Amino acid sequence: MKNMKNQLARAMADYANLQKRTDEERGTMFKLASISFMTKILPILDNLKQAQKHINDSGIAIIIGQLETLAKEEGFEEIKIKVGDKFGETTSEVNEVVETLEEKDNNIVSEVLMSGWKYIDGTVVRHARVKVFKYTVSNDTKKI
Amino acid sequence: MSKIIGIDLGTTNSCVAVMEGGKPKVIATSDTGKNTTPSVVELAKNLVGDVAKRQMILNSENTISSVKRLMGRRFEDKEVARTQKMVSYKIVSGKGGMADVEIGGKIYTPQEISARVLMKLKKDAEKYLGETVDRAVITVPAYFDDSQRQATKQAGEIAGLKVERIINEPTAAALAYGLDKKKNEKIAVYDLGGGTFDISILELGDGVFEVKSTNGDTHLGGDDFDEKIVDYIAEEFKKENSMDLRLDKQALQRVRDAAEKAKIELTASEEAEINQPYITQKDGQPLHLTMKLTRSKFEGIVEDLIAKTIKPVEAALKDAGLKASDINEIIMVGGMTRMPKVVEEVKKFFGKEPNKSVNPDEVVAIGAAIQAGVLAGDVKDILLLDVTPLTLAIETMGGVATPMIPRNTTVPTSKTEVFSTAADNQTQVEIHITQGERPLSNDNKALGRFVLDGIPPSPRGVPQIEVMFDLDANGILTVTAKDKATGKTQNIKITGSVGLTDEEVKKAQEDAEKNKEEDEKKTEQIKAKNMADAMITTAEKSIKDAGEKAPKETVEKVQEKIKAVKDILETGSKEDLEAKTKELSETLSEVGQAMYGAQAQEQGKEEKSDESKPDEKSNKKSDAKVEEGEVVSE
Repeated sequence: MKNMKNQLARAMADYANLQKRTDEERGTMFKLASISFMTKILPILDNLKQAQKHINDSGIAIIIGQLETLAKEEGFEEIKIKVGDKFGETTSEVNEVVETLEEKDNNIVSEVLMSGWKYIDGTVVRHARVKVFKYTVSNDTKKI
Repeated sequence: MSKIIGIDLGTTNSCVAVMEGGKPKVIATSDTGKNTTPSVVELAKNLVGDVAKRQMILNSENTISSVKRLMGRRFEDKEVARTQKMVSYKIVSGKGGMADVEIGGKIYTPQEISARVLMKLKKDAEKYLGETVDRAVITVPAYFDDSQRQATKQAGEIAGLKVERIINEPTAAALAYGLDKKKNEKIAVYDLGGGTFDISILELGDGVFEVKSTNGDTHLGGDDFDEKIVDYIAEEFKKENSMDLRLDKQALQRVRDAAEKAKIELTASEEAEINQPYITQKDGQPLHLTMKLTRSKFEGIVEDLIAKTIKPVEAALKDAGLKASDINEIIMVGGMTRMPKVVEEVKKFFGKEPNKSVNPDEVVAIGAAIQAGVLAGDVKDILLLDVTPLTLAIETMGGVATPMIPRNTTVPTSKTEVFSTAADNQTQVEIHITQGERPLSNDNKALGRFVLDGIPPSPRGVPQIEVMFDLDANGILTVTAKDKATGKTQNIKITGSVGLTDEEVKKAQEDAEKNKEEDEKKTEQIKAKNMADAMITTAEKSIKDAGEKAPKETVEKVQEKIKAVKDILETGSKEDLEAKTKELSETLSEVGQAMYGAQAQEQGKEEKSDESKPDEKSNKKSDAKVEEGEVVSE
């Protein structure tokens, strides 16, 4: 009887825990679905921005604005990284290293190649791609 | 007692899993949510995994990858020299002439570096489980010698893990497929990972796996496949635009992304589109990368790489003293084995279908977790919930087996459904319980039958018979039928509806599969017959209800159509039955139309005569409504 009671308590506890986890997972699933969709949209937004650089069309500017507003409404935000910022591996990925003789420029972002995006809770949806300065004592040492 | 985790400590990526509720569960990394972690470590800032990989090219001298290639090896080992050529960090001869790593003037052993990866996996597992983890099972390649195994064990200890067991990666994969439960088999494990290819031949006897032989190529993997696609895309682009995308690092990264995406797409579809607008510029004009890559083209590009894996397989078989046909099971491990051409080549070589249902990136960690579960005694402790191996059904009109409890439902469970009679004035129903996957009751196993009588005579479809199937944890099925009008109940208890032998279940499933097409046809035929039968009843009732209101010629037409359906009810084909039923249904709607038409005419007449007495109009109308309401409630 005691054993049965234990088993029942276990089963009920398991159920209660399952309910909690299911609730949590529902939230996570929603977030993951949004993020998955957004990561597919972002390259299109990038391409539109690239196109805009070439043709500078007011219509395209509106479309870019619409897409950015949509992203914001869905809880996404561009990670603000600009030239001159210190490189941070939590938000960015190094795509290229630019050698510099200026020690103060070491680890400084020299160019943002692709913008990074994050979700409302801080989860990085896409890491920014950057070029980063690397200090080299002289030209003939430490070549990469 | 704390859980024991299973770890696949890989050259390129690592993975951790744990037994939970009797099932292995792969634990996602806390930072990225991915199920695998790159085996990359940066020591200065203590970065491990994706975060270390992201800064790798900026800090290549201090970022360590592929350290597994150095584990337990002496500095003069050929593999060490080869590894030095592909990595940017410095490999030095350490204590006892072993290969160590020098970072920032400090010497680290490969164990210490691997320990960082293990620590991260341990932390992720602790975060997921909400408890401290201090024991693990870690996998190593089957060819690892004692010194390499010892080094791996030390890495675990440095990470604060008591290594309960070091097991071979191919053995772990075999465990993940449950092959340990089989007897005396010869297994080939084909492992094509990110950077290495391993083939192992195992022999299983009395639950013990013996590695008969191993072979492989330590420098062949998914990365080589990616490189090939990148080269192809770049060459094609160069042909068209006279520009080499590989020289522009930003463009190259985009080509790599596109190649990876195409590679994944081509495992499922026959063609992948590569679209990277504005990839570069020429004379101030933007250039776009757009091309289509078909699966056959892709297979052609990487053909030689796939072929390169077959030689080691042949050698391994030779070493084991076996022929390809001696192998009972083939297991696919590593992300590249998702490629259909790889599967096809392996199948062609061995002459049988390889096992590939478990995620190839996770299969080794899953196997390690299963071994951990066995060591922890988890497997004994858990209450195994049984499932119904076959569908439990009730026979309904026309001999159709209507499923009540579908197969694979976890027991205990119960299901209630309300049924009715098939004929007018039917005073009893027979409840026939069957088990099996075939759609017709006759083809399934009869478990029992009983009769519920005393149903008050009424038209077909009116009585409500509630049937309840209740299957308890011991597999005892109780079927209860209750007439909702009288409350009269009958039931039957059937034991052993769950406990079938594996052969019985397999046979039933195979039968169902074999006869699927024919069964479907039969079921369709019965459905058509039931529909026709129901339409006849409806039509006859409608004519009766309509009485004088329906025009005589329409009634005759309907009767004619009823006869046409009745004539072919037993013998007609499904198509004929459907066609005649449709005709009957269409003619029947004419009865309805005629009746509504007649009523409208009558109403029209009434309204006309009402026009002279506008004051009474509203009264009359409300009267008419009441009358209609009365008819409905009759």
